[in-house]
Amino acid sequence: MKSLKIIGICASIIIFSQSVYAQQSQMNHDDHDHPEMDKESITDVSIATDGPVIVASVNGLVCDFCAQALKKVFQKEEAVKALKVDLDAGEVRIFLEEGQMLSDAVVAKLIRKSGYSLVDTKREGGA
Amino acid sequence: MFIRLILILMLSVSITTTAYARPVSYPDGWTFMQKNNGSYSSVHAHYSPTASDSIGAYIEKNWQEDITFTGIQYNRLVKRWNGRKTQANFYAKVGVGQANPFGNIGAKLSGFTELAFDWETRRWFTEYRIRATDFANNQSVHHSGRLGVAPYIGDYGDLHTWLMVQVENHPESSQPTTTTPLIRLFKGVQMLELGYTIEHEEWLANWIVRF
Repeated sequence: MKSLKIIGICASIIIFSQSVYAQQSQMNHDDHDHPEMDKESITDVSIATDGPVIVASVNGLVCDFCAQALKKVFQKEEAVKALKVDLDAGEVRIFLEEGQMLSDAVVAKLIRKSGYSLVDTKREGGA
Repeated sequence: MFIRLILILMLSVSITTTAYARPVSYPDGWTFMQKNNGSYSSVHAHYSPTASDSIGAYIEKNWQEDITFTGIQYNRLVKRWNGRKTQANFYAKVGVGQANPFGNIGAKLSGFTELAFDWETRRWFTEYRIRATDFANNQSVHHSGRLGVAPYIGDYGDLHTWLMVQVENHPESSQPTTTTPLIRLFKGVQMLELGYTIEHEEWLANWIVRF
């Protein structure tokens, strides 16, 4: 019984470390090569700094692990090119595809679906 | 007692459906959780169809009582309070299935229910849980609490670290109260906890990943 517990603990640590390593390697690869990036790969970083942007002030942004939900929810939207979460400022910067738009009502709905509360929005770059 | 707890839980869940809550995971999200300590090991895999519910399989092996529980677990985020720099959550969980005591007696209808409340900022974390189990007529109620502090404040996507102390109380145990210092690490969708229960001299290892 004790050996089973030890095996379980070791397996957890190994799987976790490999996954983190793989994730880090992928990030490094993206940083240097800039291949044709899909939406998944650009949601974590502020590559898309030009174009229309919605800055959403959000309540409840205290936990990175939980805030991953924002990425998962927003990346399903065709209008969204990238997402940047600022935990310090309590803000989510939503970078839109050119010619696309998201209404405040839709933004509020997606924020709520991610588990947070929208306070207000600011629009930049013609969003 | 167990039936009564279930009824109270179902009632509390049903009267709070107006609360818009964050997902237990997120809509269409999958979560895999593995927990190990000196008392039990468990595996829980669940799917979140909505922003506030998840349902999945739960298996728990109680090492001290030599009981294995296998069943279905439903989790609900009953209420969330989002503040400018704070967040609090109230969860309810219920599981129904079968348990094989001592591994050689026929399976018996079993279940559990749990209520959990947490409050956190980017620096501080507190949590309280109460859990009632009825595994093959082996009934138990226990409480646990956690206090945590983040030694540094990481940005989104960084490796985050929490130092925590967990205190558990099992009233029927020969050592009712135990203390477990632990470290919680998370990065992206992965979370790992490692700790050591002082009184039992046993290790704790928990791992969660979301898809």
